[in-house]
Formats: sequence, C-alpha cells, structure tokens
Amino acid sequence: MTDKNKKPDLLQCDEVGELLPLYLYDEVSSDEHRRVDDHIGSCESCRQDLDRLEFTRSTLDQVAEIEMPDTRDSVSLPVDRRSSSVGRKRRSPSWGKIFASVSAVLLLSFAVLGVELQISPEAVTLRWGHARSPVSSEFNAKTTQDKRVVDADAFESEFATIRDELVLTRKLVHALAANVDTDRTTSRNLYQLIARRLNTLETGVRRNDFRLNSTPANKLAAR
Amino acid sequence: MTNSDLIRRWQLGERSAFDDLMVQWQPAIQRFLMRMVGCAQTAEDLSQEVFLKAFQATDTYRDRTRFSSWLYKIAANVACDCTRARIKRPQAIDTTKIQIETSPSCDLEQNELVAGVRAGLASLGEEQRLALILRHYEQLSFEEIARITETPASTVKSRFSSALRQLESELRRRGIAQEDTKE
Repeated sequence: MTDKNKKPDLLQCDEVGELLPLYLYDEVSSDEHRRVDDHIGSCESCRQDLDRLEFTRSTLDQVAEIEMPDTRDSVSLPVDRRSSSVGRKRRSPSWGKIFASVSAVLLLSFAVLGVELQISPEAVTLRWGHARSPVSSEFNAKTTQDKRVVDADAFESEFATIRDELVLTRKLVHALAANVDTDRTTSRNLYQLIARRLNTLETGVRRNDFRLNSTPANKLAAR
Repeated sequence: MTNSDLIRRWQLGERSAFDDLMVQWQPAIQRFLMRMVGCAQTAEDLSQEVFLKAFQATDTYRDRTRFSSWLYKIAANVACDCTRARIKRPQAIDTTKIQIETSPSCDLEQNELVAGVRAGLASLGEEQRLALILRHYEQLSFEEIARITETPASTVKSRFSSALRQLESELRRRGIAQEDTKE
C-alpha cells in the first residue's frame, strides 16, 4: 500500500506504542482514544503491549497496598439467604436487573470521600477511610499514634457530621443485605438511597461544605 | 477548615494552623518521599525537613498557587537533593540488593514483588520517577506536575510514558510480568 493510499486516520504500531501509557491513564484526546481503540481492536501485538502496561500499573497498586495497607473501617454483611416460606416464591438474585449492571460484583467508589460500597451475591461491604482521602489521613494520624495527635474531642467534633452520615449509611447497608436476595424493589430503592447519600457526602467533602472546623484552640496532645 | 483558611491563619502568624496543615499533609508527603528515596526511615526524616522548609518559606506562598503543588514542589526538591547527595557519596544505591522490611504477614511472593517495584523505581531517572509517582500515586494532573517541576506538560507526559515503559521492562527482567496470551 502506498502512502497516498494509506488512510490518514489509521495509526501505525509505533504511534500507538507512544500513546499507550497515556491512553491507559485516560490522558489522550477523544479522537486519539478512538484511533487507539480502532488499532488495538485488530492488532494483537499492541493489545498485548497494553496488557503488559496495565499489569505494571496494577502491580504498583498491589505493592502500595502491601507496603501501606489500608487501615479502613468496614462493615461486611453476608447476604441474607432466607429460606422459602410457605406460599412465597423465593426469587433468585438477578444482579443485572436489580442494579442495571451486567457485572457479578457491583462496586461504587467515592475517591474524595474515601468510601467504597461493594455488592456481590455473597456479601454487601461498606468501607470508609481510604488511604488517600483527606478523611482517612486524619484517621491514620489518630490511629497510628502520630507525633502530633489532634485533641480527641476536637477530632471528634470535626468529623461528627461525616461519621453520623456513615453510621446511618451503614444501617442502610444492613437493610440492603437483608433484602437484596428477596426483595428487588426494596433493594433497588435502598441501593439508590445509599448511592445518593454517598454522592452527597462526596460532593460535600470536595466542597468542604461540612465545615470541618475545630474548636478555636486545637490542643495538641502532650508527648 | 479548608486549606486556604488554615494557610491564611498561618500566614497571619498562627502557629497552630501550620500544625493542622502538617497533620493533614504529613502522611501523603511521607508516602511520596518513601517512593522517591526507597527507604521509610529516610522518608520520615526528610518529611520533617520538608515541613521545616515549608514553615520557613511562609512568605513565598501565594494564594494563587495550589497549596498541594507548592508543598509537593518542596518535597520533590528535598527528595532530589537527598538522591544527589547519595550519588556523591561512595555508597550508591545498589538496586540488586535492595532490602525490604518484611512483616510476618508478608509472604515470599509479596516480598519479591515489593523488591521488584522498588528496584524498578530506583532504576528510573529522577525526573521520570517523579513524574510517575506524582501521576500514579498522588494522582496529580500533568498540568500540576508541570507547575511543580517547572517544565512543560508535554515534557512531563513524555517522562511519565518512558518511566512506565522502563518500569515494565525492569519488572519483566525480574520475572514479574503477565504472560502474553495467544489467540
């Protein structure tokens, strides 16, 4: 094929190779994204190149977790597998229909808030205090006995709002786990309610609407 | 209280405001330094240096700059100074003998993984390592990294891309790689 016959839109492997690291991190334009997609759809070599880079990225995360494991609070509840009662037909879980998701495990992650909600056929899990979130950095400072520890009362008052919201959300998660296997409508409503609450919290933390304000004089614990 | 509120109070001379900032940012800065220099103890020492420099540089901080960018810039300079000082000393970093602190819960495979990644990061050039760590772990944008390093965003992207490729190559050399699938 001569150059003049080559379609200008198609990328060559070396061009794709240069773009793949940025493509992997969503740092390419939508046009570049489309052209890379088109290329790797038919190029095994470049697809494997992408897989290797993806493996490298996940290895970095895996090692980060080993080196600095999450000190996350969490609640994990087994799905309530109720036995069929007389006259009541037990519905088997249909995750795709309940949550409009085709995956077997539904995961909602709220990066700024530091909360993760995971729903699988076996368990419903709510984690909070992700290592990278501002909320967690305070938790970590308290739990790891950092040199400077905020006064306990001041700390509590600062995060009371978020903690109360998470406690309430945890109750909703309890309810979801109790119903998700048997009551599709309630499960969907609870899930939407939880997602809405977490979204609101995420937005609030991002905008700092919760006014994480300590008492006028934060006292440092004496060493 | 937002960063801006704390900074404003700090610049007005309120010492406790700086303490609050330090409590908030110390874990992230220490994590960043640990990845840059590869040693937890050194990172802890350097983080103290970072906040000391930040405290001394109060007057140079301007509200139009994001506090995180300003702080990471100080941390990056401290890390690079440390690395250059190591290179000048006879005891250079031997990437083949990187020791890791293991805990009873770490199995052999995990130890090898950790050692591989640390060696891989250590094998990168300073600027490449910085770009990779700030983008991947600290999730700063390339524009923010460009401001921190005072280089064009296109340069940062290039350094990041080559860092990721070099790290992949180093991991593969150490036997840490995904097997290619055949259709």
